Amino acid sequence: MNQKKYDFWVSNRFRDYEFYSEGLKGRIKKVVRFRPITSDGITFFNLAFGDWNEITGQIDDRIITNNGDRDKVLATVAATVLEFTDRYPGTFVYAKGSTPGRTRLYQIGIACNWEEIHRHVHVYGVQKKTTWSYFRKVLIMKHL
Amino acid sequence: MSSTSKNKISRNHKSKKTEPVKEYEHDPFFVEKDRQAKEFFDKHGFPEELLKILEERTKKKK
Repeated sequence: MNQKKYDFWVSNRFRDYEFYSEGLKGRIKKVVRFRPITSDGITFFNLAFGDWNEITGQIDDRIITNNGDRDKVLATVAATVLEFTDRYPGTFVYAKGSTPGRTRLYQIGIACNWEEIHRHVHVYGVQKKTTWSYFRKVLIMKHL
Repeated sequence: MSSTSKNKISRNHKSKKTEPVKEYEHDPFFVEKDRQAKEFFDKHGFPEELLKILEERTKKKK
């Protein structure tokens, strides 16, 4: 990915990643985690991502950070996916936004960086909440 | 959305290991997200193309 991104830190097993968003609201810790899950005999990794809440000591993905660095944060999360798949080649990673709007935002992010992304991974999406299909930039761009 | 990785090619990203990162395995947030993801796949299954890729990989290993 050629966009600007933050440096990130990684756990020993390369499944947990941390980085700091730096912007209008200050310095905010972000956490990305890949966890193996098995369904119908197939193992995939679920990507979950959120802000570290210093007060509650827990992750929260409902927070609207508004730190003015959305694209840089998304590019960093994308970079963790590449780092992760470097360490676990051939794996299947699943990601879903915490709200329909955020899922849409991720789709747009993929579409806007498609030339770079499709060189590294196969991408699938779910249409109408039921049908899997190969990610096609044209379909997404039509809806912008 | 989901993705599977292709062959390794040059990637412009970098991580650091100078600061220890804890494992968030038991964080309630991630536990709930993982439960939702499993529920989704149990209900909808996997993409056909992906299953074909997995099948081909299994054949190659044999």
